[in-house]
Amino acid sequence: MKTESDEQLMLDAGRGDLAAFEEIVRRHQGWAWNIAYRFLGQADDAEDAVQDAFLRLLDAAGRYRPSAAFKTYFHRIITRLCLDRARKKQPLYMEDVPDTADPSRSADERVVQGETAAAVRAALDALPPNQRMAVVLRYYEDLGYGEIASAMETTPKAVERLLARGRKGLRSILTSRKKL
Amino acid sequence: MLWCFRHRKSLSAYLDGRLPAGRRARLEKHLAACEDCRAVLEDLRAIGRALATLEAPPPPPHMASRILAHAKARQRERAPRGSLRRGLSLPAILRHALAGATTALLIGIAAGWLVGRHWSPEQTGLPVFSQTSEPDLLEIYNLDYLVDAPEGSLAGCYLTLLSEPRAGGE
Repeated sequence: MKTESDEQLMLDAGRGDLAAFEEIVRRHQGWAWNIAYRFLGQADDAEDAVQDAFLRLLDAAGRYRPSAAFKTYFHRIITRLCLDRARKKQPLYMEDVPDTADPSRSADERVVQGETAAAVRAALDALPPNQRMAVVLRYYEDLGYGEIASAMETTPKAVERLLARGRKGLRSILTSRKKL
Repeated sequence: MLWCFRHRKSLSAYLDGRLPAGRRARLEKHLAACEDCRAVLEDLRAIGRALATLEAPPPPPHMASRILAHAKARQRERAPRGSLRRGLSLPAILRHALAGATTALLIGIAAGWLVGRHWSPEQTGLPVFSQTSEPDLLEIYNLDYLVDAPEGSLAGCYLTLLSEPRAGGE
């Protein structure tokens, strides 16, 4: 089973083979968690999203046809679920971004890094969901424009615009917080 | 300034290596001459370094087992309905019924064979139809008053006809 392709495992799972589904979970839970956590920002939300994504995958296994790579297919599922969750949450407007603590010039690098990470987290949360997802997929999954477009069910040109606006928003917040 | 506005729109795609060769060349020529646009480009590069400081913890250790538990529960919920008990489908019930009927038929055939082999007609009391003895025409047709019919007479011909074997073996 460990040598079978993801596509073959999905077909087996569609025939009721839970051992095949278990192998899929084992192989792909890591990056699915990374996307969900970096996008949603909270462990509980991320775990729920990942669980929903895998169960949605299992539900669709009976209809799965390997016309595209499995990872592309699952990217689309996890992306869609994360975006749906984010849209249901109360939006955090840019004016409401909480102030970070004043960085002490005598603080060590870990403290500074922690504050930078907190500022980055706040800046990401302030982005509209589509821009945030494009940034997460580009920077943390190293996906190309075509792959991001496939995951977000849009066009590469739209991804280019999302990234441009997302970077502009991040620059605006982080420079105002002196984190760039 | 107008050129800066136009070129800054391309900086994000330039950062990802997505600009066509001609546009990239024009942008790089502008960047060489414009300190402000170079500063913006450097800020965009710094965003990448800042984003890298945001680490993700490893997946929760129980996450996979919870997912599998839910998957097993769903599989159980979706077992086929309409069976006498879980695990039996309608085709399985029909197969069992057909096997039972076949068995009953075989038992009936065997019983009939045994009855025919081991019990005589007198023991069973059932009527017997023998195919070996000739029927007594006079008894059947009550024709004893024609016994003395002369040969060649109509009565004699009639008796002759009755006593001859029929065509077709009847």
